[in-house]
Formats: sequence, structure tokens, C-alpha cells
Amino acid sequence: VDVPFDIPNLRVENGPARAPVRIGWLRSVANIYHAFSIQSFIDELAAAAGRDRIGYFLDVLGRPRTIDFEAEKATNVNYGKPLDQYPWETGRLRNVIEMVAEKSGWARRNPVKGRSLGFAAHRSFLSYVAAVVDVQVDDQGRISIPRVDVAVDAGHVVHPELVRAQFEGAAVFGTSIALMGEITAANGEIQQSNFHDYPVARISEAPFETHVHIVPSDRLPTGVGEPGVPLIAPAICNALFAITGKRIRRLPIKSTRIT
Amino acid sequence: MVSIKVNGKAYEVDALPNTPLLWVIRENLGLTGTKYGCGKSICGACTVHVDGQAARSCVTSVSSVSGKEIMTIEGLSSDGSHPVQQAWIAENVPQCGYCQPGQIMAAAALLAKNQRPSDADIDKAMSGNICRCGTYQRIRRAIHRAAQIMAEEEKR
Repeated sequence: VDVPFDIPNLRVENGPARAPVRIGWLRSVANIYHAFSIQSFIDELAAAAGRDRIGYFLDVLGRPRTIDFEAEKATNVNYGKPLDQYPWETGRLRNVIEMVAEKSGWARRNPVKGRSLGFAAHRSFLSYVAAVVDVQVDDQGRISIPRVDVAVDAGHVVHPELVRAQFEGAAVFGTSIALMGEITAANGEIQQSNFHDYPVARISEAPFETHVHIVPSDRLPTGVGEPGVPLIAPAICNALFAITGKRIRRLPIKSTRIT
Repeated sequence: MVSIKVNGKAYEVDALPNTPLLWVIRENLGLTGTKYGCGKSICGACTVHVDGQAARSCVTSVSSVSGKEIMTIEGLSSDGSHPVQQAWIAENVPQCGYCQPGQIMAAAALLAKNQRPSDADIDKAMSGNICRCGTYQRIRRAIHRAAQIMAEEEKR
């Protein structure tokens, strides 16, 4: 139950889903669709309330607290780590959100036609991450990403340069998933076979620059390889909603007409 | 037998004329720096130079390059001191590294033609080389840095 919002009487359920194709691994695994749905929906709620996206998110997140899963009669496998050593602390999520808002110039942004910032924040692999993605759409509906800002609390960081490289790469990987990555099956076989029918982001399509902001911390070190991926798709789609008014609920984005 | 010249050395290799150059480089010559990626000239991992031009060795038949100057990543410099290699180290570009020999060869071919490439020049020249780790922004920075190193070396 990775829903960090301070909502009284929260009820989260899941039901069995048929999966005729064996589900394998992809960088950041189930976080991709969990973050996509939750981070898109909170953006929809903020839009419905007519509020600033980040301001609304922080309000719903509530005051900093450690989530008490027992009191909420919920379980959280917490990546196999004990919750007393690696608690779910909403204050750390708030902190990276405030950091990314400041570094990306969220509050100072000026509305420009065909260009907007999109936001998402998500804890995965015990790390707290928030991202702001600058998205541009041209007259033909082509999407480009001039800039990504990511704020990361991964506990005590031993090698900051490696952490930056991982989050730069995760922004590119997340962009591939969001814009073009699609595997389909027909007549019992997968239809894609190589990069001609399974494109991945090239240098001209990837975010032009990604700025990684690391929270100084002496807490236990946590994941950095995957946590940068889940935020990118919802942040891009939230920006596209701000630009076009169109809400994307199906990935990859290439299956939606943007203009 | 096919005669080819790789990294300044002449070889007679026992290969069919239509064997991909990549197989000859890797299997016959044992130069394994050049990588197999897609086998269809879409990903750029197999990039080498043929007469100074970036070429995809996976779709280049060995007979078509007989008599031409072929250069692989092993021949770029004897000690890793080519400006592109220096810049790659300075910018900490590689992650898993698999695509990097192809990226470096593509970058070196670009800089041989264009000593001061713009961001747009780089995007155009490097778009054929996929990096799944996502090191693109460091690749772009490293190419600008390599251009600077080359300009400074020329002044000396």
C-alpha cells in the first residue's frame, strides 16, 4: 500500500488479473504502473480542484509522519527490509518535492504555448524521489523534453557521481517507456523482434539534460538504479495535460494523438 | 580468402565474401571491442571506420571493404589517448559499456569531419547509436570536450 496521502479511511484493494503472458522484469518493475496511475490521478484531482499541482500534492500528503501500517491494518513488504530500519516517512517525500520544485523553478515558470512542466513523486526501492519534467510539443504533435529535474533522498550516498549517472539514465529509460516502448502479442507470439519495431529513445529524443539533486543524508543507503524510472511517464503525461488538456491513460503515448 | 586491412595491419582471412565484416573482426581477428547489437544496422554497437567514415560492420560484407582502411576501437589509439577517449573518461560516460565502442567510433568520425559540432550536429551524427543505459547527455558533453581537446592539441 504505497499510498502516502493522509486520507482518513483509506481503502485500497486489488483483485486477480489474468496474465496470459508471463510477466518478466523491467527496470523499476511494478512501480511503473503504480506510479503512473497514482501520480496521474493526483494530478487529475488537483486539476479538478483548480489548484497548483505541487501545492495540492503537498496538502494531500499531509504533515510529515511515519506511516503506521499496523494501525492502518495494512501490510507493506518494504522490499524485504524491516520498517523500523527503513520506515515510510512522508516528510522525506515532502522534502524532495520541495527541493525539486525549487531547483526546477516550478513557481517561477511562465506559461508558454506548447510547453509546460509536469510533476510526479514516488517512493520505491526505499528511496524518495520527485521529478519535474519540462515538455514541449510542436505543431505536428512531436514531443521533446528540454530538461528534467530529479530530487533524490537515497539515504547516505557513497558515490554521488554514480547516483547522478543512474538518475540521468533512468530519465532516458522512463522516456522510452512513456513515448514508445510497447510489446504486443498476437496469435501466441510477441510481435516485436528488434529496434525497428521496438524503438527506444535515441540521443535526439531523450531528455536534453537531466539535473539530479541529492539530499545530503546519513540515513541507511537505499536504491538508486531503478527509483528514477517510475516518475517519468506520469510527469510527462501531466505536462501534456497542462499543454493540451488531454489526459493520457494508456502508455505508450505514441498511441494517443497529441494535437 | 579475403584480404583486408584493419588498424594498419594487412590480413588474409578465411571467410566467404559475403561474411559480415563484424564476424571477421571478432571471430577471425579476435578484436572483440566491436560489439554485435541488432545485426540490422539500427543500433550502432558495431560501428567501425571504413576509410575514415563511420560504418555498420554488421551489414558490411567483408569483400566490399577489401583494400580499404578499416579501423576498430582497438586502433583508435595505442594507449587510450585519442581526444574522444580522454573526454569519455573525463565525463564518466559509460555505464554498462556495451554500446560505447560504437559511440566512440561514431563520435571520432564526426569530429574528424566537423571540428566544432553544434548540439544539433551531434544529435544528427549520433542518432544511429542506441544507449539503453541512457548516457546520451554525457556523450554530448564528452563530444564538446573532445572538440576542445583537439583544438588545444592543434595549437601546440
